Amino acid sequence: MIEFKDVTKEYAQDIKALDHLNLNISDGEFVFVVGPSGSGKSTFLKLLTKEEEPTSGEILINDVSLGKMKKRKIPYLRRTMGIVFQDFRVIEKMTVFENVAFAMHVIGARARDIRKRVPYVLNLVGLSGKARRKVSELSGGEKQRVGLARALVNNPSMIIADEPTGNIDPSLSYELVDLLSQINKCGTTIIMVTHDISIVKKFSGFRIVEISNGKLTKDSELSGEKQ
Amino acid sequence: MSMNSLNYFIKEGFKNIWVNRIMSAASMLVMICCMILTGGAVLFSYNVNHALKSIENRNSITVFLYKEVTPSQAMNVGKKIENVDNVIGCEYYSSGQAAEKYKDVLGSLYDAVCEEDNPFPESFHVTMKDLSLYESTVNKIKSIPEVDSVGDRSETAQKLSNLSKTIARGGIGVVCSLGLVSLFIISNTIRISMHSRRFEISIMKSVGATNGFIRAPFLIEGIIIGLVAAIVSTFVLGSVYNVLWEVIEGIVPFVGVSFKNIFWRVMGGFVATGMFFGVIGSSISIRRYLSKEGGDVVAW
Repeated sequence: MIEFKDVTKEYAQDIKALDHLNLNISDGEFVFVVGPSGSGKSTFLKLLTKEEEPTSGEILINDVSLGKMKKRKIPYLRRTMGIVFQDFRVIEKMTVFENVAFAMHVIGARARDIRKRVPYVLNLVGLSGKARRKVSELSGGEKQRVGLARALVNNPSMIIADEPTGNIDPSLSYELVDLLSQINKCGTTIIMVTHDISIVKKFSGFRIVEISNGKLTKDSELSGEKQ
Repeated sequence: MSMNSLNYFIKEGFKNIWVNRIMSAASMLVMICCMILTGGAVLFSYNVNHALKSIENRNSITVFLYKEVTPSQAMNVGKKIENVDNVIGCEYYSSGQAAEKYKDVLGSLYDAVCEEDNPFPESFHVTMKDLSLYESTVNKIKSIPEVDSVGDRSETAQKLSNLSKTIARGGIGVVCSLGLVSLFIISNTIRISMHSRRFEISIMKSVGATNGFIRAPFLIEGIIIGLVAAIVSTFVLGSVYNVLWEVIEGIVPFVGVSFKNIFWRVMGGFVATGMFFGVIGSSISIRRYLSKEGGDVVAW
């Protein structure tokens, strides 16, 4: 359960990225966070991953206040999340396998577990045949799948996708969101930030939260409206 | 920390060095210069102290009589010396014996110098019982009218001590400057390493790597630089030292300390210093960098 309680984030005086935002996201939900550029969507994610601190208000994840969380505990918070970036953030010189295994290495996983888990996740995202390929040889859509596999490999309880379709073709975008929706069916919470309305319209039935000028301007759950 | 993580850190540490090999080599070179100069100064002081101690520990002195004193008069002087408190031995050394001793050194000059007029005076090798009474014993011997001079250790000791102090003072300045340069270069090498891997670091942070995990390969990189510099420095310093030692040993036997006897101490000192500098140099860069988050890491 994610709770934003009256959260405000100011970067400079009178420049509010988020303005008294109140939002609850339950476990297992799939939420599209939409809004124009500069509306505060990215700040919303940064607050969630504790890259930024709110100026006021409180953020709770599973009843744990992020404001009271010690700095050394932040990595453990992030291990409960899988993050997918717009620019993929894959390491080009590594193979597909190594990119995904990298995420397990950094949390101290055993080599035996890595050898077992990585092929399984690559199979989930449809890259099982490309494990040994260098990432630099892949298409944009495939690179994003590598990014998704990396986000999934540590078995997070939520996936945070920051404009994951921003750099890939529309058809591949649909495939990717379809993949996310399948992951969501297994119980993983998905928070996907996008400004691509066509995707939101294509995947009806999911919750849509709209942020504009730092304020929550629309929440399909509250209005009873689902796309 | 698991063995997997340790292997990973060491592998990544070596990888960082290879990727930034020019900067790594520059860091090592500066550290090697610093350590050789430091080690050289320390070894010099160590040798001087060793020489001072060996001089101090010699409980025998040579007493030279005036040239005019005949061998029979010298016998009487010997009895006077034997009667001085703290003297436990007094061995007569005739002018002829002294000349004979230098026969090999003087070679053909010996005949010219010693045949007609032997320049060496009558002398005694005097052994003392208690070295703490050195000064008073020497003064008592000097007060015997036939005694011209006493082979005194204090002047040599003073000269050596002054030389040691001068080297130490000059050395501290050089070592401090080079130490700072080493730290600067190492911290910059690690900074470049971190910069080249900023992308990976941002990913590491996003998947929940602890700061310790991110820091470890860079610390290991610093340690490896320090370690390699320490090993190279030991062997370079050892080679130079051995050459000098052989030369000095040929002139003044048993004064210096053989490098073989101090090899492990030098190596240990260098390794500890190298690792210390490596860790401090790395930490300076890492600390600044780890405070960055997410996009700031990539944008750095």
